[in-house]
Amino acid sequence: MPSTSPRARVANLEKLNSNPNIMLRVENLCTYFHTKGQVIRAVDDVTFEVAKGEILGLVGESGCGKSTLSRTIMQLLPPTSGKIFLQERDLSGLTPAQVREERLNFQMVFQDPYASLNPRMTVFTTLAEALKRRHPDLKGDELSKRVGALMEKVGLAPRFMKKYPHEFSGGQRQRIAIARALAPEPKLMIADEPVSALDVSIQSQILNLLMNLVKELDLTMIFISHDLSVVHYIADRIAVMRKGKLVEMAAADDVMERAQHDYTKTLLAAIPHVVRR
Amino acid sequence: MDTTIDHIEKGSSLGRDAWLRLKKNKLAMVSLVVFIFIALLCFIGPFFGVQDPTTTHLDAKSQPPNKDFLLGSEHLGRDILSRILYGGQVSLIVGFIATFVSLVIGVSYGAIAGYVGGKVDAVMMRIVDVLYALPFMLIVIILTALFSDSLADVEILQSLKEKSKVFEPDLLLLFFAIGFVEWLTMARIVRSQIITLKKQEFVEAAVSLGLSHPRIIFRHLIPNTLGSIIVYTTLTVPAVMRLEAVLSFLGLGVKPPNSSWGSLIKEGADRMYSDPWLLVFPALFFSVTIFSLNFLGDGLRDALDPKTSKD
Repeated sequence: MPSTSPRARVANLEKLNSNPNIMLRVENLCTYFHTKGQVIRAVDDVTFEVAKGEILGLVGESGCGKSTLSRTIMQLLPPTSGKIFLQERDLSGLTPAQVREERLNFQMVFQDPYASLNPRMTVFTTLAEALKRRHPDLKGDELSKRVGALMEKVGLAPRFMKKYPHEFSGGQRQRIAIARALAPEPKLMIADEPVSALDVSIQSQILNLLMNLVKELDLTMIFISHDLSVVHYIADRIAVMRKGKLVEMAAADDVMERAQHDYTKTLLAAIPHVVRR
Repeated sequence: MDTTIDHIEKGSSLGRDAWLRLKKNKLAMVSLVVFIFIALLCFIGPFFGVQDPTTTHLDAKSQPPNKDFLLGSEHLGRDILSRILYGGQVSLIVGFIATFVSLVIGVSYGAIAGYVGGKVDAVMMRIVDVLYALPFMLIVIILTALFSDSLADVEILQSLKEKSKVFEPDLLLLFFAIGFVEWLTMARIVRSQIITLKKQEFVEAAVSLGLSHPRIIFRHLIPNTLGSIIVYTTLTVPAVMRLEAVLSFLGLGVKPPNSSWGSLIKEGADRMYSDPWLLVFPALFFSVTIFSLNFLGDGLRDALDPKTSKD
């Protein structure tokens, strides 16, 4: 992975707090699980903002609550307390029907491309279903054209549209999953460890694809990973999570070069280095 | 990009892959052919010069197989071959319709219980447990006693009976009674599958897209349980046919002058010392059919087993 990473938008982020262009605001969010008399505080009083057009990297070890946080934001898990605002709209106050409509604005790319695609549906069916959520009237040639265009956008040849997920490689499947997330034209995309199940050789292709898409489609993205070097490559800012809490959040280079929290330093030390002898 | 869409490559679905694997299984393929042959014989055979199954030939009672009665005749001189073929229609229809009934009820019930989960699931599955505990024969006897007469009065059933040689209002009772018992296992199988499936990421993705609950159940969940549903169905058909045979053997199922393989076996068993062909031929047809369905079911299970599927 290249050691320098593009930082085109990072300059704007200093003004973040005064910036009205906030895509996502999470306020005092808690998600607890109750098991056998114990309370597991998977997400514990988390507050942060994501600016429009920003890529926020979220790092932390396995079990630190990053996936629970993303699933809570995605409305796949109910929060125990706290609020989630998408462009100033409070998601917690919505009826189930309103949530279903609002879902089109935030989409997710899942970790395991082998589990995140329905094995009984062709690429076409999967993508057409997602496209029709935003444009219910699409059909026939127009629909095929849109599916083909979507596939080209993520670097897949449209002639594969009648194939099934098991006929693709892991990287190709993740491209299909990205295309599905893009289909409803979301404003916010959450990528939950999208490259951790892929070969190293494929990882950077997918990372570059995600970065280009964010730029091209004016998306906002939360990129989750346990690998600080991957997050540093893609993210404008990095948030470090531990035991359900955010322990550090700063511009990506600051986290890498001037880590404040001990836990972040431990994560940094865990990145393998090539030692010259 | 319009130009690239001209030569879309065809995909190979999981179902097609399973079929290719099944084709390699000789025993299963032979069973499939045997089963289709018997089914065709029962449903098309009677159009090709077989004797009427209810006409008695008092001058040719209890004949062993000969050129007039290929498989012999019974004590009233009725042709055994034609009785076997018409009886086969009854047995196969009961087998498939009762299985279909149990399939529809069991799959929807199990899918809803598994998908909704929580208290709804607990209540729905306790109901299944209670029904499981009821003795099957008791249910059938009660159903037969209660509804046998009232069914005979329904006009539609009467007209159906006149049009078809094999249909009896009592058959409906058999469908219900057998379907009533068989759907319980199906519901349990489908429920456990749905519970595993609904935690998978592709279902979360479907929820994230804001798809409706029915769409998630019928497009994303149930198609992925098809493997086990198909296998269990192929094993249910012979189980149902055996149940029908047992009931007819006990005199609770198909009643004379109609016949099913079960009732023919019973009649044959009564005369097995004097006229053994009365028992041997119906039993042969019945067991070959059951065997072929079971082998086919086993073959399908191997072919659809996700562990052996290419991935």
